[in-house]
Amino acid sequence: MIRILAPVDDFLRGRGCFSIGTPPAGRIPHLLLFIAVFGFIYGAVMTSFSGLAPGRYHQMLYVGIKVPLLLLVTSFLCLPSFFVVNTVARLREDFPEALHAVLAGQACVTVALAALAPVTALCYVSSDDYNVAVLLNAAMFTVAAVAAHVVMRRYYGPLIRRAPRHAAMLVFWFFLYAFVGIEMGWVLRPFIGDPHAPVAFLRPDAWGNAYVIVAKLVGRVLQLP
Amino acid sequence: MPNWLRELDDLLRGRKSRAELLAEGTAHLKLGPHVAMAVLLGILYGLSMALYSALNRTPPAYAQFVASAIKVPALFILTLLVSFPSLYVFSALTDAEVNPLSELRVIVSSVVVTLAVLASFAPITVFFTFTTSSYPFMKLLNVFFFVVAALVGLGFLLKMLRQLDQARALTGRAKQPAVQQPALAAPDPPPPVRPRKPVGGPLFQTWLIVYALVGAQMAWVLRPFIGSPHLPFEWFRPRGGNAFIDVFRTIGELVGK
Repeated sequence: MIRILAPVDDFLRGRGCFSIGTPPAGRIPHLLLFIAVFGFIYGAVMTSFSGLAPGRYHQMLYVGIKVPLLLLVTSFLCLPSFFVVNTVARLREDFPEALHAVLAGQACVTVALAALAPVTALCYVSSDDYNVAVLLNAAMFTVAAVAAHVVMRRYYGPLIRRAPRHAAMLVFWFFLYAFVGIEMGWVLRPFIGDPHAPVAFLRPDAWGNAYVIVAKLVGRVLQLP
Repeated sequence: MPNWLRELDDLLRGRKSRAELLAEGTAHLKLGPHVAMAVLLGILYGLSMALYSALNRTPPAYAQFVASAIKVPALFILTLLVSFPSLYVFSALTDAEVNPLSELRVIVSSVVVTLAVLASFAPITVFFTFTTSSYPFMKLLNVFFFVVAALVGLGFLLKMLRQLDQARALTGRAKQPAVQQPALAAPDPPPPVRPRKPVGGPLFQTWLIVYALVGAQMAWVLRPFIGSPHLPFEWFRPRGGNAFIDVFRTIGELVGK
């Protein structure tokens, strides 16, 4: 077991094949595997709020697939722009390292989430309030994002020291990824699973736009015509 | 890698805008291939814009694919055609050190960069087109992507002009005559040399504002690019209004009921 987790330990500590200076191409398959495995683990635990009820077990499989899907498809959609903007900024030579850094950030999110999964499970045992479950998961993702920041800084730091323009590229990635990721999360819902709603991979009304809903809410709050 | 893709790659990576290369002129920025690339990239993004009309109309307006695939490249080419003569005339009037063909090549290169950035947003546009039916949102999203792409293209253009000025300074130094030995008879005084004016000076920066405004208005004239689901398909909408007012109206529509 410990031997299986050794690459994860190397990743978190930035050692072995994950140390700075080693070729980034060799690390990318590891990172994709971490995202798939640990994303699946947290997805399954995340939806255990309602997924452990009889006849709803397959919901854990659905959400287990959807968490890595959310991260990877969002990255896939943002990569062409990230690639072109990096190239125009004359940072193409560093692109493999930049790509590795952003993937490492996502892998760290999933590893941190998987580590927080027991806490989520404990909270589910102690409360059956759906709104509490939503807020709890928002908090878990926030903590995981902070953890990912440590890894991103580790890999992006040398790039920024070499060419300060990388800092702007990182900000560009962050906003683009968040913009697409929010909508992807909205489309791929449910993640926690309302116990009163039937199990579904996607909600019947899945196609919709999170930003339009927020804009309409703002309009209603401001009592616009 | 195909030749045209290598050419595009070299342009995006800045390999074609090095001062040493520009010192020999701008002939390496070939107009024909660059225009062809701009058209291809524009078609790609145009198709992604028109997808909305195919998904949100009954019956789907497939003609919008043809219209938008023509209009996106046309927007950039027509904007350049409309605003380039004024740049040339004012540059000549102010005696800027400028060769119109060189300037055109540099601007077309920046158009290619703008369209490459725009085309790279196409997957995101397609994703949002599949997931949203809100026409105001799609309009604002596309305006945002056009603005971001234009800003990146503008940055590229200004950088290239700086390189061009550096290249001119390099060649200017190289052409300076060697120090001559004092002659017995006083030679005729040399003709006064007028200082060279930079290409990317205030005139060019003012022109860029004109270029952006012409671009915005050209986009308005060529509309629709996405195609409102509540209006029939048309190649062009009737005259009236302007792009800036419409952006504010669209924000109101998005937030309103």
